Amino acid sequence: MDGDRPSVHFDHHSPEFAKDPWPVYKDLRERCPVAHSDTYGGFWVLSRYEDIKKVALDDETWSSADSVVIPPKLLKRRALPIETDPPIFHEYRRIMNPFFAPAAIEKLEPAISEYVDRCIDEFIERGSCDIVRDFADPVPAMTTLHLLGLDPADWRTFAEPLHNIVFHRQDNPVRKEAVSGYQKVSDIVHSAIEDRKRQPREDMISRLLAAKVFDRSITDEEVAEMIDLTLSGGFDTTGSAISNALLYLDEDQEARKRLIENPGLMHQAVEEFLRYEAPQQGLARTAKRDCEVGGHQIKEGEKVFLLWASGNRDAEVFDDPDQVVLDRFPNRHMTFGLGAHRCLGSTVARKEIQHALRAVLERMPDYRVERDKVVTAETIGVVYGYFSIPLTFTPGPRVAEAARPAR
Amino acid sequence: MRAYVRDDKCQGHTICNVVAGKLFKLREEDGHSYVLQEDVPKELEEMARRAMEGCPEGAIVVEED
Repeated sequence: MDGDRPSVHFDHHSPEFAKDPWPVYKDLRERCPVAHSDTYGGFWVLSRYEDIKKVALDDETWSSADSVVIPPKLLKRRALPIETDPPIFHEYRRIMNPFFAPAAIEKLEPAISEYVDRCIDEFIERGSCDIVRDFADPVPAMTTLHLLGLDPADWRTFAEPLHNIVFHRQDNPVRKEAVSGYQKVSDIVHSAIEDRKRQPREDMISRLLAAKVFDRSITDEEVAEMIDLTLSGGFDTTGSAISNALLYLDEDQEARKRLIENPGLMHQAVEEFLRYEAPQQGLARTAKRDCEVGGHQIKEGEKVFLLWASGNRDAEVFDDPDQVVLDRFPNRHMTFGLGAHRCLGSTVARKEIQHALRAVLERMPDYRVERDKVVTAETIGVVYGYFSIPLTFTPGPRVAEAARPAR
Repeated sequence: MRAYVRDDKCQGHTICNVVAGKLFKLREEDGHSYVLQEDVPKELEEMARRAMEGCPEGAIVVEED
């Protein structure tokens, strides 16, 4: 054992960590920004912006092909292209890019706005809701399914197992049930693939099926793996960003007032919420060779955990990093990662969050969170989110036509 | 002033297009950015600097005269 390496006991899945990760990150950044944790078989934890950036930008040294989560996920299917390295990575990413690029997302925007309005319509007359169950869950779920070419009305079938997988610890039986609940999702995905092969549509799944990779036709399995990543990337991450922002705007009434009075601030405000509370706290890489980070020797095969959420609070990069500054600029946060693996869904995520917050502030500006009833995720080690956030507010009118069927 | 995007660094964060859309356009196929021409009109110089500062990858190059 290397007696020189700084040792910590870092457990990003622990209940204590879920309550308040920020002091843990701060302590790491100050005391041992490159530290070795004895948890989950042992791995290095990087908490400073520059160290994280250096690794994230170096796909030659740092592989994503051997699980990017710690511990590795229970579902044994590869997610494409997150779990590949260049040059293979680029081949898959190239064919997915057009569906997520701003030009395509602009066309999706009316649908996003409609899902936001319809979800609010379902509870706006009640004066109360659970903003996770009734809003932050369905909006990203419906948007992602729409993007893929699947039926948004099915959103619960997808959201429930995904939600239970990311928010429960691996040792919780609910998680194991959720993993088998995911079988229904796999079945729908495979049915859709079969259906689009027989009768192609103008949708993402059909277009992916027609793609060529490595000068050959893409396989059904590869398409399924891309759909898998799109689903796991599109649901709880964006949903948590919405939840976290709404919680913050309940704590900081000044900020809420400012955002209501200055809707033009929304773009920058959303960037700031993303920086302040990254939905994905971190992702892992594996060393392809012996190397060095921040003066510490890392051996081939060892894993590092890149704490995006901590990098976002690094005082070397951000002034007043623990303050929400709505119009902060520059805001070079690493919430969507850095380098080639930059989150494919960053544009659609931003649009969803912008529309979601805009609509809530327009239609329920006086919402109050019932703080004693808020239920945090059991683990924030995969996604920093909530099971439940009950709200009350002054009731308002529905905006969609009265004849619309409830979803 | 001249401004351009380094293709080897751009990863499609699109911040430059949000803060300086008149200067930085986005490719349809992947949202990576490019400039229509490198010379920056005087009135857009501040915008170009903002784009450079805002890029998380440091992909925007601004050459002051």
